[in-house]
Amino acid sequence: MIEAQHVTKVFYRPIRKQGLSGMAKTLFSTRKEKIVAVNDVNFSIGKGEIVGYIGANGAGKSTTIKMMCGILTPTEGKILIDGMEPYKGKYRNKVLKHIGVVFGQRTQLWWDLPLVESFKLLQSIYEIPEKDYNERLTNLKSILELDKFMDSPVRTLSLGQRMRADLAAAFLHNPDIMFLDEPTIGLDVLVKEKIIAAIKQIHAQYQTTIILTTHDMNDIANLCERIIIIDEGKILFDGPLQDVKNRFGDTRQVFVSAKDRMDLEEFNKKFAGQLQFEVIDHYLSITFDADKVQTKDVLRYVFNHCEVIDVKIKENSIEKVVKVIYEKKAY
Amino acid sequence: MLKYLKIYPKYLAMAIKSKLAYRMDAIIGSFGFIASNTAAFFTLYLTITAIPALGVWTIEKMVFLYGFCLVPKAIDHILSDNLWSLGNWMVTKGDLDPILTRPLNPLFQIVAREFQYEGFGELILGIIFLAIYGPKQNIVWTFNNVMPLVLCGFFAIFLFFGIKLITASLAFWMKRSISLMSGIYELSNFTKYPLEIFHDIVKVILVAIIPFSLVMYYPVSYLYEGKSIWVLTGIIGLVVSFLVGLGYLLFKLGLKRYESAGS
Amino acid sequence: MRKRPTNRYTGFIKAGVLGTFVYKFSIFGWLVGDIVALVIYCFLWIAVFANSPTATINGFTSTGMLAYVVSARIIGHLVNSSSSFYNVGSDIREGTIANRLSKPINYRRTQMYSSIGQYIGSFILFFFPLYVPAQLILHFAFGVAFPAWYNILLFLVSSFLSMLIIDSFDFIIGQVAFFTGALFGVMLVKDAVMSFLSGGMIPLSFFPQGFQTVFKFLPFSSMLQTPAFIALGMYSFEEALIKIAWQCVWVVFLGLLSYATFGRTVKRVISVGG
Repeated sequence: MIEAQHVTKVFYRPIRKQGLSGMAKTLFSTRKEKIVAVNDVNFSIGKGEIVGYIGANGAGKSTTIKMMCGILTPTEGKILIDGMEPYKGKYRNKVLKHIGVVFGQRTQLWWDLPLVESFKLLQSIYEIPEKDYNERLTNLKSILELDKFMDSPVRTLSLGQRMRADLAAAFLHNPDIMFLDEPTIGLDVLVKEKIIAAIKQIHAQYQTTIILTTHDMNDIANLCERIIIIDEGKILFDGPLQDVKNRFGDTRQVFVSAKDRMDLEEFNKKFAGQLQFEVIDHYLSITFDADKVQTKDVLRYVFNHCEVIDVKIKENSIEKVVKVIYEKKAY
Repeated sequence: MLKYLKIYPKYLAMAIKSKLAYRMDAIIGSFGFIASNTAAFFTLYLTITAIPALGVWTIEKMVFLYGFCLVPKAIDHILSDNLWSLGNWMVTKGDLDPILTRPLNPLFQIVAREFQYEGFGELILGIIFLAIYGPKQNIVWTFNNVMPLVLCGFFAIFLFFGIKLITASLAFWMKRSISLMSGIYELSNFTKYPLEIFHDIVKVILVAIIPFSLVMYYPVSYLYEGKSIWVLTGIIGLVVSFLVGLGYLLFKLGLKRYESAGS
Repeated sequence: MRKRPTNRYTGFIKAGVLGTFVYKFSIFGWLVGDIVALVIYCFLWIAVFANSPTATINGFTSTGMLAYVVSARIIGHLVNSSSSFYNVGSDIREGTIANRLSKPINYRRTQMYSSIGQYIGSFILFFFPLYVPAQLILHFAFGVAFPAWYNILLFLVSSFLSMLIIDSFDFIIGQVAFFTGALFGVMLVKDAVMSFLSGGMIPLSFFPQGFQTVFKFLPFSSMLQTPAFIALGMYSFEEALIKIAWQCVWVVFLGLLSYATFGRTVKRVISVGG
């Protein structure tokens, strides 16, 4: 469905210098620095997949998304959506009819007019037949709970409401592929859950291929079967979410707060140096690989060697794993 | 093509309704333009009346010319005001992105989205000038001179559009081309003066390069001389089409550049 | 005479100066359009004079008119350097005025000192680099005389006073934004009226006699025509002093008016709950 073949994107930025004289120099100099935003990226995404596209800011993910939407053209290589390159003039409109985009930071709706007006205009733009339009609108309205503010001007909506509206607007024309760029940014926990649930529901109903970029690992964990990690323009990881955990083993973190202290060197000797210690918020955090060390052994040791007030156990989070991947830059 | 004809009224309706919330702005904006045009007009008046006669040009003729220049400018102002945004900040702020993800011509989306009520101030002023001083001219108004004049006015709308489009598209290279846009747009103010009084350089600029005078001044002045303006109208039509075409070409090239350079 | 600025306010002057430096690059753009218009206006006047049966029109020779057109344009930018209109207008509109009013310093005064800073910045950055070459061109290409030393000094005083007058005027009109909610339209009207009535578009001597008498009682001629004529040496020393005295009257009058109107606006803002 979506294929990226040896995609590279290079930007030229004028070199900026500091200070007032720097500003003047920049005006007159033509020197530019080359920035390789995306470097020989390859992947293939099939119909109905939900893929999480993760990367630090500036890693190249918005650039890749923009190329897939036809906003930017690759410097080298190509992107094919159903065999067509979306950034090429003759294919552009054809491809755009089948994709939907949500930019989390910006709305695509008409700011001053009631929400329903934006939908009507979108119907004309995407040439959606009346019957399909009504059906989908009713469906989306119920999934995303839009009825309460259908007639309110978009500028009066809260962030959560606006995001739901944007989502509906993007799905209205039944796109085969949806690009969601930070759809939950700035939202509170409850609203986030609702939106993720809505996306799941829509996916289940319509088998839409979804590509999601976000910084929220919970969203990824809840939604995506597969993740692609990009850093400094290169793909560090591409595979099922489960693989990420497995690759990095199952890390456990035990938090202990006690009345007295333990001898940590002795502690670690007992466990063949497999433990990592940190003090976080008055708790001693003990991190270890659950394949190599048994949690129950660690707990027994702790209870035997100090007067425990409180114990917490955390297991591996995607966040940590991704952090490690960033740091190691390999998998 | 048909799709655009069907969808333009819808966009326009949205645009018209959008600005209704800002009614006060629009009304005062209209007054604003009326004020600046009135001031400009009186400046013209005081300049011209300071000397006995500028050739054949009397007050009646000058006001009529002024009105004839204002009406197409106003109509273009009302319908394509968003082009200023293109020259001002659209390229750098990334506002083009949502536009490029829709299966609809980008230029259409930019222009159709805004209906600038403020232009009505200029339009009303221009119509008043034409209505009051039209009958006062030494011309017998027949189909043979009204029709081509109206056509010239119609072409003039696209002249303003084309020139704005050309200068706005330069923003794809310059990041912001608003200063150039306004500088050249200002030149249109000089078409209200009799062309003969200017130095040759100015004449060349206003007739051949940025042809405001060709499109708006010449038809009126020919009529005063009793000449037929059908041929002139044809020429004007060609010139304007050329300019609009050039503008659209620049826009497309600029867009390509945007796609390869990002923002 | 003026009070010594206290320490709290000198900071605003500095900020005003630096502010102009930051905007310098964007303003350069507008300059291009300005220069084009200026050049064409020059051609226009040359043509008007060429077509005139008399050598002087309303007190101006052709070179004198050129000198006026160019100088008035450049001086106009200098005395209009205050951004009080926009600051007040947008502060009221965006509601940040409530924030500013809660600070223990006088809002009107801070705007004024800021404008003084902008005047200084504008003088260094724009006026000087533009006016001096312009005068040189006018002198060597058109035979326009240089101003006498005392004219230059008087001009400095006069232009500063003009800036203050315009600053107060702008401040007062900026408050209109509160009542109308429309900044852009009001700005257009204000700019058109100010420019037209202050001699920015055409010298005031071109207006019918009746108008000129009325203008004597309006602040507009003190805004631009006065400093421009002084700079061009078109007033004798005594005339210049009288004009400057008039400017002082307007500075005080409009200054007080700006404080007074603002007091009432503040009451409105508080009662509406800005």
